[in-house]
Amino acid sequence: MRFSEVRGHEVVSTATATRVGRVSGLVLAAQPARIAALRVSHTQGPGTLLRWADLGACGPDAVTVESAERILLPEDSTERSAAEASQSLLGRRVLDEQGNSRGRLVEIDFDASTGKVNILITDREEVPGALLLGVGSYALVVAAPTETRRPGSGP
Amino acid sequence: MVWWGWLIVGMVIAAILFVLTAIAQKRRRKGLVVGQDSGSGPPPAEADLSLPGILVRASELTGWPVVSLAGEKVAEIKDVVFDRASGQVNGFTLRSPGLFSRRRRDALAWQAVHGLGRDAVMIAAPQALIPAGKLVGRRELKRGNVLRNQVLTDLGVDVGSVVDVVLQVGRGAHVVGYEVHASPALPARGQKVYIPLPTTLMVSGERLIVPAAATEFIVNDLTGFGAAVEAFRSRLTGQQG
Repeated sequence: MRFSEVRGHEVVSTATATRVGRVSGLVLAAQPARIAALRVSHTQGPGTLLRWADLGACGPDAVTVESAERILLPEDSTERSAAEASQSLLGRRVLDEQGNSRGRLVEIDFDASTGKVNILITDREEVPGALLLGVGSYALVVAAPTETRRPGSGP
Repeated sequence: MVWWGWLIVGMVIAAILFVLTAIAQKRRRKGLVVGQDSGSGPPPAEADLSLPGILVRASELTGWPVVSLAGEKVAEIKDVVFDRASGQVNGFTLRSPGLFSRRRRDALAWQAVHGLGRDAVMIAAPQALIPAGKLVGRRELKRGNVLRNQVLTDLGVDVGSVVDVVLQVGRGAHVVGYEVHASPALPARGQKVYIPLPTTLMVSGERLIVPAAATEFIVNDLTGFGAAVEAFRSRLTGQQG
């Protein structure tokens, strides 16, 4: 599944069959590359995050959740900074660990059942999700492909 | 207030903003290339000249982002600090990102550089930075700047003044040449040209001596400069052997 497909999806509570929010973004985490949580807007409560573990399903037409209470506020500073770093992910620069740009992020392809990130798509190339090293507010950092792993040199 | 009152207030604000941006821009452009005496910096990084590496002007590095592997911008490069005798880059002083960027109290030693590519300098984590005093002293920082130094051949010919320093960046980083504003003694007088340097440099605080043969390897642009450096250096080693 792709980020652009899930964005805007309704978050539906399976307990009440009502809409409890709308997917506004996602929280990307590295090592292993995965979707840690969905960012949810238009909620009834103060919560903004729906952790992947709390998710009912990430379906083709809607995201389901057991109840609206699963949509939480960030638990600690680590989670809060991760959520902040994942704000407006699309367009974020992608750097490899050698300091060379790999383009700007345009799409994320992930497994809808496990949340594992398969491919990071930039405006230049496709980077396997397994290479993701870090998600920061300045850039996503990916490992350099092993065959071109030479410090300081271009790919 | 009447309408022209607002107009005057607006104009005053615009003028203040203009001056502030001008000051900020001037500050941002300022970056030094600091030569230091052997042994005054941290222990030298392991040199590996087998890799060709990329050529980059020291001034281009000023303002480059220093990014942690977690993807956060930690700082920006301010000055390049190198060893006077070997030409080896020992590290970088830093400034904080932003319009009114200030020099930071920490610095980046070359050993802590994880990768230096075309778009950023990568470090493992912000903890990899060291206090600036460990890399270069304040006095050295003020006096060691090689920009505008005179370049003289060992035969006493003035080649010109240093405009920029050319670094070769591979596993280590080295000063391999100078961009000079050519003196009237050169055919390219008045132009900016690149002159290769030998592997060991003879530099003082205000002057740099190069072998006279270096003038034969002067080039006009950076693209052919890597080859010129190699040709010049193999000529030097050929003379010795």
